[in-house]
Amino acid sequence: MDPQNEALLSLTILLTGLVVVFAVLIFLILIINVYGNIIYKVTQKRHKGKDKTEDVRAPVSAPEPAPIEVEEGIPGEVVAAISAAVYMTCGDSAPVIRSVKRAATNPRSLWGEAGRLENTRPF
Amino acid sequence: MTNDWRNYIMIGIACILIYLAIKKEFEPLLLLPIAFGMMMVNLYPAIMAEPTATANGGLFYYLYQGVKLGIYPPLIFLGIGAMTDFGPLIANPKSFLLGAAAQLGIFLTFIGAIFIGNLGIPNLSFTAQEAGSIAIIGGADGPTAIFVTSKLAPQLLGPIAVAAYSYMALVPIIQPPIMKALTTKKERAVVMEQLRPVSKLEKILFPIIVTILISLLLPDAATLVGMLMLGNLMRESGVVSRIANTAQNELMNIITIFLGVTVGATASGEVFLSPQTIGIIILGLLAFCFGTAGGVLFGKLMFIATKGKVNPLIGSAGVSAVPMAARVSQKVGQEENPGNFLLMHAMGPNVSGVIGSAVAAGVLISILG
Repeated sequence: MDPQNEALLSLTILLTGLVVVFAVLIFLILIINVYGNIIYKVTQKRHKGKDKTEDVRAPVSAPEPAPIEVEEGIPGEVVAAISAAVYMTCGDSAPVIRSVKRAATNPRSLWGEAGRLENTRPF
Repeated sequence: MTNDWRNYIMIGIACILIYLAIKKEFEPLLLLPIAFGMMMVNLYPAIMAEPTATANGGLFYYLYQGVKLGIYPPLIFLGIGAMTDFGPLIANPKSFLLGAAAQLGIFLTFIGAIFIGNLGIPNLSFTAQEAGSIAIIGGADGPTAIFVTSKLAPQLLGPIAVAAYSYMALVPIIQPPIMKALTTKKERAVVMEQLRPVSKLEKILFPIIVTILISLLLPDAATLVGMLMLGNLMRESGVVSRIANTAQNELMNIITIFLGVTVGATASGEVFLSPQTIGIIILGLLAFCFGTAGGVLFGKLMFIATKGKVNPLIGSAGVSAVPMAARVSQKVGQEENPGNFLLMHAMGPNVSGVIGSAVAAGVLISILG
């Protein structure tokens, strides 16, 4: 390739490359801005609608939680962990925890129990 | 096939690379298989031998077909997509500009690679296709470099892949001096505003829109961008978590092993030890430096345009090399202001750099292919 052609090719690649890369990415910016704004507005409207319906309702104070009957020797942290686990498993429909007691000792070892669960879970 | 002195030199280089991967932890996931493949092919060249009428080919020959046919890079992109959170980019789409500016290194290096033949050094000249393949090293994106080279100049795959991955591993050493030289203390200390939260719907729409647009505008970039976005859609949709996990873990790891060892195996002594390879190594470094400079300089422009709201350091992350380049922006920014957290801001240009380099690859393939 002679130097003149080399210079021409180099200039073509430099200009075409930069122009195309910038053009494609600027186009993406515009598109993202447009759909981002649309989604933001729709979400805001939904939130406003929700807020209004919530305002109409009379304020209701949460009922006092019933005291939990905790067996002696079980620390508060354990009760909190059990409550959190129940909530995580059952979600908003979580049953009320009335008491926390030690269960009768399982004659099987923990490892044995884990193995049994692993083997029966698929069914 | 017998070994000659060049093979022994390459075995020495491979051992140094293995040392760097294990001891210094320079991108070990890539460097270790690359270096081991390099060592194997120089110890036992038949491992890369083509099949004949009477004998099967070597193991690496068959694994290498994934590189040669351009299969591995898009699969790696699938995994990268499944790992990447485009949230910072969607929250601040202007980051795309930094990802575009950092591609400057690719196009400037192309000019250098074309004109290097005029220096008069024997055996040191490149065709336009070879120059394009060398230039893409500036995209700081290994799979893209391999994809472009396998299409334009497969004979240079070994040196280009080794240069691309080695420089990606060296991003924390190459970038900071350039970033510091091009910015003032005041600019480096800029604390950027917190990014807005991005809704799930926006994240789901993003890969679909990008795929449609880029495939229509630049079909040559569709393979890479499409796979990147498929991986991302699997992640963001949340309905195929099993295959999203496979794409970003098992599949990605398997492809990385195959890609690494076979790319390393292309670096046999007789191919690798040539003036061309030295030229590629030098041009690759320049590509990285120009790319970093382009991103930082555009960052400075954005700093002025936004009246000091953009820290120019995030511009250097536009060279791809996810997430190392973003980490470098964070590190250099914290050196100036320890309470400054630029990482999430730098992730925007960083992931846009991946898209930008795929687009640049499409441009090179469409003009030179």
